[in-house]
Amino acid sequence: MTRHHDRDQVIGQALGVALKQGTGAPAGDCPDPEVLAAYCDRSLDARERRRWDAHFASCARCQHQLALIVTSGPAGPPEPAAPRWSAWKWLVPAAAAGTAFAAWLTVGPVERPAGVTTPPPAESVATKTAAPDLGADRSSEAARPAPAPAVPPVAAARPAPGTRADAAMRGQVVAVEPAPAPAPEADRKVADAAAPLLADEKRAQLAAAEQAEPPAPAQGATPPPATASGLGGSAPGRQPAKAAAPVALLEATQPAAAEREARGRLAAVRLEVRSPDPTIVWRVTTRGEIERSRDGGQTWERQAGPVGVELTAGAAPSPTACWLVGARGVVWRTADGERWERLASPADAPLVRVEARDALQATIVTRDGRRFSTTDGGRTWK
Amino acid sequence: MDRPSILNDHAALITRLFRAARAERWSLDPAEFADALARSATTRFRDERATARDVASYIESLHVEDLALACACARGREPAWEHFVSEYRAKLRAAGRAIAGEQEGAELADSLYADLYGVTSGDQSRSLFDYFHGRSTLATWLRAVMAQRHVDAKRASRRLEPLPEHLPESAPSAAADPPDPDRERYVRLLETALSAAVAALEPRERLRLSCYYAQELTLAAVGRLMGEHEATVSRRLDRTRRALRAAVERRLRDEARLTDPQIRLCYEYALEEWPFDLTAKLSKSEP
Repeated sequence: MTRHHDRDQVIGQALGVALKQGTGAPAGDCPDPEVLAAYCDRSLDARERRRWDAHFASCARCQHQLALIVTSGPAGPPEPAAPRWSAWKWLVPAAAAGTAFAAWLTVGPVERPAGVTTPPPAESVATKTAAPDLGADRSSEAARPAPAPAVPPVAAARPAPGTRADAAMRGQVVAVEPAPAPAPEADRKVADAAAPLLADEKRAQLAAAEQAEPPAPAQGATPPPATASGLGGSAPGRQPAKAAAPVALLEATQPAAAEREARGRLAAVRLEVRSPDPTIVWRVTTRGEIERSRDGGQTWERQAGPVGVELTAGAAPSPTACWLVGARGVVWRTADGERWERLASPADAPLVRVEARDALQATIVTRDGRRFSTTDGGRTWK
Repeated sequence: MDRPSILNDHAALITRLFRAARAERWSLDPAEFADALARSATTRFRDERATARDVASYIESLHVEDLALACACARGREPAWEHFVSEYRAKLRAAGRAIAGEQEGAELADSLYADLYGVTSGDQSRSLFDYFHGRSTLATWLRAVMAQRHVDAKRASRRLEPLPEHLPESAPSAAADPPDPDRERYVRLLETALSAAVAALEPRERLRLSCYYAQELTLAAVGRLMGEHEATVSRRLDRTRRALRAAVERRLRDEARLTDPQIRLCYEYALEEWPFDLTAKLSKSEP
């Protein structure tokens, strides 16, 4: 007997089969490369665009050409901005940041603990590297930043199919090895467990900071009770035996500039997850806070948390999608780079790895080797 | 609409665009540039009536710098060719590799380059560059030409592939219970309902689905093609999938007169019929 959450899986799988078998329109109807190129560059007028939308929706030949054009070179016109609702909601915190900055100018610099200096960028290569061109230019593994192009952007040689680099370029598999599970004792041991992710000098600063400052109390309320909310929540009354809807949604905050810089220096990092864009990096602190950097690790902004559960592995298949997993089967995800939601997990066991193709498709791995996959952003797992 | 009337009605605009395109860099004279603009407009509006305002708006939207370069290359102007070789040859090769792989891609790019240069073409009266009308950037147009050639070559070779000598044996059924006589019917009903639901979608929704599921583009690539933010693509795909599921179940219930238990069987049999293991696919991607 099928479970309810299998139905969405079937629909997703069936679409892959059905659409690949789509009939091609007669060759006489297909446009010439001029129109295909103009469509990709978004320079057709609205009427033409609608006309060709109708053709392309049914023509496998044209779809294939469009896919090759888009993936074989740098992006054309700039990508549209994120949905407008996410833009204006920053007005209030931005105003607060401006006020705080003005206050800082009036009061003077904050006295910093002894021994703490501005750390170097998390990855020096990342901060010196220009954002790679989209499409075929991403030739490096997503776990490392792409090398800076020596000439104006060109599509680099494509890695051999089937390799991790190829999969990473397509955003298929981006995984960061989880930090070793920390001992449940003092913060010092926790910091040691996170040591593989930190440069030596950062570890020294961390030790000095921990001696100078007491650990901050847990902040933020516990996640709200399970409700159907966030991206892809299922309708009430249709909850399967294992809840498929996200159970919590934490709004991101916009900290003041000074706080962001301090956070960059003083945070003890448990996990760092890099996206294919070297300027976009996420990290999880030992306090369980999820933070994001948009400048390759120089400054950080808290986006969510403390999440209350240890997060141990992550994957960021794109600059706006990131998956985090951890103890007790916890799965967190952002699909727009801003809002985080905790997803219902298929297993209560500790999760040690996540592999993600994009914001919808991912596979999580438990400590005992079980694997669960989703194709609908974590609403259902198989 | 004909070229003389376009040249006559929009002379001032054409002169302004000639300056904006800095076409004199390529030893292109104003008459040649004007002719290229007029040809572009007549091609665009050959099947429809257009006012002078439509034509002016269209001409102003063109990528005139690239058009001037292509026009000069078509006429064999040395400065233009030097610029094209230094700026575009490497891009052409890189795009070719991205489209068709290392070896085939290099051949694809070199073949196009030769056609552009006019080496292989016996008819020197019309250059391949003359087919570029400035509606997109020159780089995108070159990628589009290579993509079309590659896709058509692949489709042609698929038609010529011999049929297998024998069909692979079907896997033995693992079911211990006797097969359900309605199994095949249920799967077909689900397929039909899904096909009908997909066909009823708006073209843009269908195109978005096809780009993601059939062409296997990432959300970011789909977003670039459709002019949408990646998060928007994700949200719309999710919404479309839910709508499809609702439409499928409505059709199964209302048209095929299936009960809820029977609908559940449709999904169960379909799940077994269409095996798909993302973990296996991800595993293949690792070295």
